[in-house]
Amino acid sequence: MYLESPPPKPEAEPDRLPLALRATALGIVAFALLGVLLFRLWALQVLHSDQFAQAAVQNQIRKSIVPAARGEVVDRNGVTMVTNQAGLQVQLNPAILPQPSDCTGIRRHHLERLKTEPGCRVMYRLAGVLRVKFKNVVKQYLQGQKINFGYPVTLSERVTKAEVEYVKERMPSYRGVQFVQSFDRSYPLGALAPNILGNIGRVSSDDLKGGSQARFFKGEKLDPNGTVGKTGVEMIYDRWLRGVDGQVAQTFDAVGNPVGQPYLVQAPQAGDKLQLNISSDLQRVAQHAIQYGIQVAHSDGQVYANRGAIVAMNPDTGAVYALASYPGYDPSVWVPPYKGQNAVLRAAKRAKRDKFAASPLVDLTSSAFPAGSTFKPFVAISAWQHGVIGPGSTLPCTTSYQSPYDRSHHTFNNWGPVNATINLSTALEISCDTFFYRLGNSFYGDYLHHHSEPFQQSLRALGFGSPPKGFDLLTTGGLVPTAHWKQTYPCFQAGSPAHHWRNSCGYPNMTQNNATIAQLWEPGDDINMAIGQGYLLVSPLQEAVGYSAIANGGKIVAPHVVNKVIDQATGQVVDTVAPRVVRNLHLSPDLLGEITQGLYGATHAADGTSSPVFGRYTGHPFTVYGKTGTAEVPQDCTNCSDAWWSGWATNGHKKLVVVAMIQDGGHGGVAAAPAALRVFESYFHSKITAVTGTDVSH
Amino acid sequence: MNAYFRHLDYLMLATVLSITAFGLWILKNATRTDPGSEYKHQVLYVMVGVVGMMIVAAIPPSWMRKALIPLYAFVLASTGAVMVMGTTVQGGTRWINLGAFQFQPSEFSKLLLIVGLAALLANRRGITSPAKLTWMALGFVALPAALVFLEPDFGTTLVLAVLLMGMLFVYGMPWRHFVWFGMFVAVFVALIFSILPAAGIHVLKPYQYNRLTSFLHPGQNDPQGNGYHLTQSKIAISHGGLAGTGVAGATQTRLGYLPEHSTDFIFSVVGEERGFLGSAWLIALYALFLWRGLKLITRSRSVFGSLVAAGVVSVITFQVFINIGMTIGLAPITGIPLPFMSFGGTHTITNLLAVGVLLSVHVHARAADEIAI
Repeated sequence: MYLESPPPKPEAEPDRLPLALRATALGIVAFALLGVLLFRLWALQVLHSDQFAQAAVQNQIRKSIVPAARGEVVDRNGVTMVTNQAGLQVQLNPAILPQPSDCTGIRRHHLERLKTEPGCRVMYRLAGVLRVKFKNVVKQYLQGQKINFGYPVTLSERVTKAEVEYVKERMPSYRGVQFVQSFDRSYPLGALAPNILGNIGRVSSDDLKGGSQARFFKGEKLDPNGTVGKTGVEMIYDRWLRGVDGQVAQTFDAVGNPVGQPYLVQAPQAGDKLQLNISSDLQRVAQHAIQYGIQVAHSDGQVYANRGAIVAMNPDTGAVYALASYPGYDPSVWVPPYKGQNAVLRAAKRAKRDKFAASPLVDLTSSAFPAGSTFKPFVAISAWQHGVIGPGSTLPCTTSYQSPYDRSHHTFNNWGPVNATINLSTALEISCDTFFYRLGNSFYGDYLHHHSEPFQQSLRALGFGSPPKGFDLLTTGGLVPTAHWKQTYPCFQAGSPAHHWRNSCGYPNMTQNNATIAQLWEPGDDINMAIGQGYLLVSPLQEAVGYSAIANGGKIVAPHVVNKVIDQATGQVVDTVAPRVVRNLHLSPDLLGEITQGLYGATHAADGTSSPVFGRYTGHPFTVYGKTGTAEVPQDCTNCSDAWWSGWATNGHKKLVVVAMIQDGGHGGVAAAPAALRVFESYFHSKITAVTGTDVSH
Repeated sequence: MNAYFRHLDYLMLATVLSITAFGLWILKNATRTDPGSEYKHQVLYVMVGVVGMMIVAAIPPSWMRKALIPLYAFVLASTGAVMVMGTTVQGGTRWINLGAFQFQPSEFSKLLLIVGLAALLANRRGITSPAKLTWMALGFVALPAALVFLEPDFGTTLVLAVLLMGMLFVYGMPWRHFVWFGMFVAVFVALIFSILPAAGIHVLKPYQYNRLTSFLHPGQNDPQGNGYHLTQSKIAISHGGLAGTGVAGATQTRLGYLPEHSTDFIFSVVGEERGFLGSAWLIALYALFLWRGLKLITRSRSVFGSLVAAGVVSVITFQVFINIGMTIGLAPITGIPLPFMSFGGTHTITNLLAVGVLLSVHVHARAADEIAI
């Protein structure tokens, strides 16, 4: 029955409802629908509002890091060695970059594919702005994503202000491109102390995962795009230098345009300043002194001389004043625009192939060499400590020596024709080898009869065979060979491949056939070690620590490159590296007296090995004590030897230990001693006359 | 004139004006940073609509009934004209460019078809067979609906179907007709969404298909596309929380994350800026309006009046549900504007004129059908 009015017809339709009921039914449906909406809105807006509110914020606000200014490095006099220069870096943010952005295989000319990959189109445009290859941008982005998926990738290219403006004005076409302030290291002093200062670099996946250097960043939260120290004090003191990065937030609209000004969420905190013990003046003098030593070596006919090291330190405090290694380089090669980097890398690469090529990246102060005769005072200390010699002891200084223990009856020759019975100081003064061979032979007797190795024990107590304790850079421990070492060292094992012998071991005159014999501890091993040869390896730094102990009355000090950590803003001292005595050797004054007398003789007596260089320096302006060394390195060339000079000078008020080493420089008195003298002259501000060494030493 | 003011449904009038004013206020804030002057235009449309509404309210329903044939002819002519000379926006050809004004015949035809169908059923012309009447009504709506569907404007086609159902229901169509009708719709949907595409005939454009189905899996297949609208809308509405973020805090709206925030998604702006309280307030106003409309169905002495009220109530309810439902993921995105709220000339004026028709029915509620059967 259909709706009619008035009155409704009485004809019956079975499914007919009164009008009011039908209207009510329509109303129920309508209100039910509105009810459903209300219910859903309640759920969205009141019950689950939080999760969506977060989504709304994430939609619009993007945070980026404001890098903290890295701390400066100054020398002991406050001269700035490392500072910062502001730069701008460009980043690609995968969270904003239009997707898809799979650019694998896309080249510049694949315009069709660029259209379907909007992310790649952004990179393509960016490459155009930066005037670099599209391929490079893609490669960097992919690599960055491999290391830290989802994080913004910082490109290595630097951008200029004009480029930034250009991109910012066209932001919708460059979605995902962002700019961050960066600090590049700047080195006002140029090619000075790269081995100490080190360099910084991008945090690597290795660093994040806890790689080899990770112990220096322990407990630190590293920003995947940040920088950390990679070598030198930059690495060791990274925790202080790095500072705390700040955070800046910027609101973006749906198109990708920034809205309003970026605002600081957290201000960056600049890193602390590092004050070194290094004197930039002395460091420069030392670096030049090595070059001078090399020149002298060249004029002496040592054609292979092309590298060297000088360590200068305060024997009482352990403060390292200079740590020079030549050849060096300007640390700014690691900083944009990376000028000269290729040359440095090429030189380092060549040095791997060619043993006569010098690598600027190797720090020779922390590399180990045979020490030659400069090692003799330590042999004397060992012998004295174990009663082989005592006050007033004399031993024959002969032209040759044969060990009673040696079945092969090998003859060990002295470097010069002498035949006398002498005491310790004379032995040092004239650097008598046979005197010390006898000491070495005595130690071999201990090994043979008592299976003890007092020689090696004493040398280890003197700091050899392990990196100097407390030193604040990475360094070598050198090698104090023992019978056990020789028996287990792979080079001496029978069946060891021949190429392994030559390439890894570097010891001469060994063939596979005598390997079994070779791994036995021989009398010659102790005897050669007694003149700083054989398997013994010592770094210039270890020598400096050892000579400091003689100069300061028997205390092994911890060498320190860093003096203190200073708060950059307030100037307050945050941390101080206090002078530290690692070990007191309790050397008898008699022994010290004899050694000192010997070292004075070596530099002043008529038959002293470096008297021609230092003879004039006595009393005023300073007195020099020291020992030359001419360490044979037949693995370099038949007549090659490293030139050493180790010793100290004092003017009554202050003392300075200097170790100079010219690799393949020939005679220590010729090449190394004059180089050391230059450092002393600079330190004590005096110069008597120009001296050229005429060597009398071996 | 005295009777006009005495019998006017002031509660309905106040409700509609409240929603409209609320809509203008929301629109003004939402489009503050947008280029163009949508707000100013909307004010103009509202003014025209309100004046039109008051004029229509003064026209006796009996006059409207008599205009059945011209009204229907106008519906067919205008929707037909869109096919020939329409303006295409975002895949839909729905507008006729009248110089300063873009006229959307499909919107306007809703009202004309309500009045027309009510007149048709009320006149009845002596037909007593329920089946014949149902067929007649079906045919009356189906012809313009087909034209609208071809524009293509799927949303308005749905509205026309709901209009037909609502009015036939109140008219007293037998239940079995509804069953038939339901079966027909089921077959129709199956044809369009699965059988015909499987046979290689694509009735819906791909964008239509995606829009209609994306609410079933939001943010899944295409967060930047159709799902993006829904995701951003839900984020905006939730962002509002209980009390809303206010204009300044409404970052989704202000920063352009919310698409179509002046038209289809204006409710999301309400949700973000005014929160649950604002949304509930708006829905309550709609409920009040619907209640007045439902009252009018029984209050009207004339079949025509009751049917017109039923049509308007059905259409407004459906549009409110679909539009708000689409912003919160309960309904497909069909491009149906929110009555009295969304920016748009034709639909704003049309809805206000529809209220004018209801007011007229209310004013003349006491009068019985002049044309008795």
